[in-house]
Amino acid sequence: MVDQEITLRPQKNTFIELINAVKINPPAVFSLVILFIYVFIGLFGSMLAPYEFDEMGVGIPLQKPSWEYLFGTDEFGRDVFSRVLAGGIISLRIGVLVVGIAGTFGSLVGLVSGYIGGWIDESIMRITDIFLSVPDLVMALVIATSLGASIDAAIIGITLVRWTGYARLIRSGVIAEKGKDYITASRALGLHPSRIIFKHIFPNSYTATLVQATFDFGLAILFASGLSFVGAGAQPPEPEWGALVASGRQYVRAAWWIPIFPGFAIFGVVLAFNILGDTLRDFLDPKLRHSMDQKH
Amino acid sequence: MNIGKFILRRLSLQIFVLIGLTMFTFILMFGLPGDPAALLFSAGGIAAGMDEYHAFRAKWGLDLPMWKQYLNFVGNLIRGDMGTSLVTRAPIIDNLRAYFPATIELAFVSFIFATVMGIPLGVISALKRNSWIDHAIRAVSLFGVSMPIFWLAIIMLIIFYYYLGIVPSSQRIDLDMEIPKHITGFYLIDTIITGYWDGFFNAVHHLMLPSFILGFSVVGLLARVTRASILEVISQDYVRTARSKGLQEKTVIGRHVMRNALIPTITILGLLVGGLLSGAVLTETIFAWPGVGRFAVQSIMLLDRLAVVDVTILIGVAFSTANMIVDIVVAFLDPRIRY
Repeated sequence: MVDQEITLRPQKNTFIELINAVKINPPAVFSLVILFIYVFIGLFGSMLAPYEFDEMGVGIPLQKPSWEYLFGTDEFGRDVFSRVLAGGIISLRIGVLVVGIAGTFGSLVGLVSGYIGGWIDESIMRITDIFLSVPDLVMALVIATSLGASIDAAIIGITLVRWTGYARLIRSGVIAEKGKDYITASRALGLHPSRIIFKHIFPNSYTATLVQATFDFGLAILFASGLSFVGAGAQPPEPEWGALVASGRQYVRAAWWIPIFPGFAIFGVVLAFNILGDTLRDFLDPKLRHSMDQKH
Repeated sequence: MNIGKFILRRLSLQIFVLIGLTMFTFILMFGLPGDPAALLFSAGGIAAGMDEYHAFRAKWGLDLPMWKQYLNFVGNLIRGDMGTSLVTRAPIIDNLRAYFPATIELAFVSFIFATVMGIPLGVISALKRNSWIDHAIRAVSLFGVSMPIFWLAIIMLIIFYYYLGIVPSSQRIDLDMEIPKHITGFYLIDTIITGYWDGFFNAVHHLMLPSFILGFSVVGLLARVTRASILEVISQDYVRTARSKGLQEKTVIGRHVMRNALIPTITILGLLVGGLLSGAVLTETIFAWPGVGRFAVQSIMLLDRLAVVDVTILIGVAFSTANMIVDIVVAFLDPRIRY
């Protein structure tokens, strides 16, 4: 009898479903390939690089891209390809730290704020309002500068403008779940609030956060490169991609390859995260999935 | 809740937010370690004794406790005095008055470009869902939001300035042209008022590339939101009802779908202004556009703390006011928002 039931109703596995959804979606495959290369470069880039990223005079300065210097050489005769490879780990670290810290902190704040409610919720929401009153990049720029214009300062600045998004997202999820019967039942059973929050409410409101985190990974890299470009982030000779574009800008007339290749790296990675975020959102949103099914 | 009450509540939130913002940026710039006076004295290479140093601190109120400095600052701000820059020794409000119109002009033209492109693209994309044109529009939107704006600007400059030579690379007007008489500060308006047509066309020429690039960075956002909200509305029961009672498709889309799909698109306009102001910082830096974004970056590099606080507050006021207007407009259009 039990066996029969299993054959009648095969168990649903979200992970397998996700893989199947990705397989029929060429952009998603493309984004995963890019991200795989990106992580690989981030972890092993400096080992793969043909030259040291800061070694001057490995070639004649301002040389065109060639087989020997794939992305050409810069004004000091450094190999641009090696510099782009060495920058991978910097951007990977920025993305991981910003999304990790902003996501964790923001989610916790949102959970507490939404669950407890009252004046605590009200004050937390007003604090997020203050952070949201200035466009993100401007706010991050001011914070990063006041902390001394470095990669870490940029990471802190971007984290401080991004946590509010998670707090609001999780909070609205919590408020939507809070009134439902199963939560009332858990409360009536005398479960500890932290158990209710983490075992019951969080699992039901984290999907939107996952999508947000995917987009934010790309956004963090984009913002950090912008901050470095105006001088509030990475400083020379650090091969952060935005800083590479900035330093190559003045030679653009004689050597377009110096700013173009690092910028292309930023574009590729951010694009991949955005496609992945779209794919995840379409997949995790049951309403959209339903309409996709109807289409077939 | 009636609309008057809603507006009142939204206004009080705005005032609260602006007070919080002044406090936050002030503490951020002045509360951190580092003595602006000492920095200035060492950077300027001024051969000064301790007496001059203390006199300087006393003159600019730098020896007062933080909270007193803050209260002085807010008190002056309310009276319209944004303070004097310790670096340039000039009243900061003069700088902002000169630079702000340049930013608004650039952002406004970009905004128009983004709206005129983004909304129709989103509509076409939704109505031709899953066709090749939908895929193409979505790809372009994705490119727009994923591209570093400063990188796109460099590519465009290589093509249109270095190779084709058909656009200027910087500034609001050619350096050998007469600067329009300052009436509103917006070159496009001032040149029309004074009938200075050469100046008008030259200013338009200078605006083209930066506003295209700035606008392109947010076109995708607008197209995506428009597409999503139309698709959401189009599957509603009342749309099916409208179709099944035999209304023409044109009427169904125009009356039933568009009106309801417009609300999320209007809501996103506030965010769009934020994107434009953020992007303006980078665009102005590249095109040497004399606006507040470039002024912010310059002040930051000069460690001109008061100027940074002032320009941040100005950008914050512009952005949060835009958001407030959007909130109120949406509340007018959709009574459910007023709860």
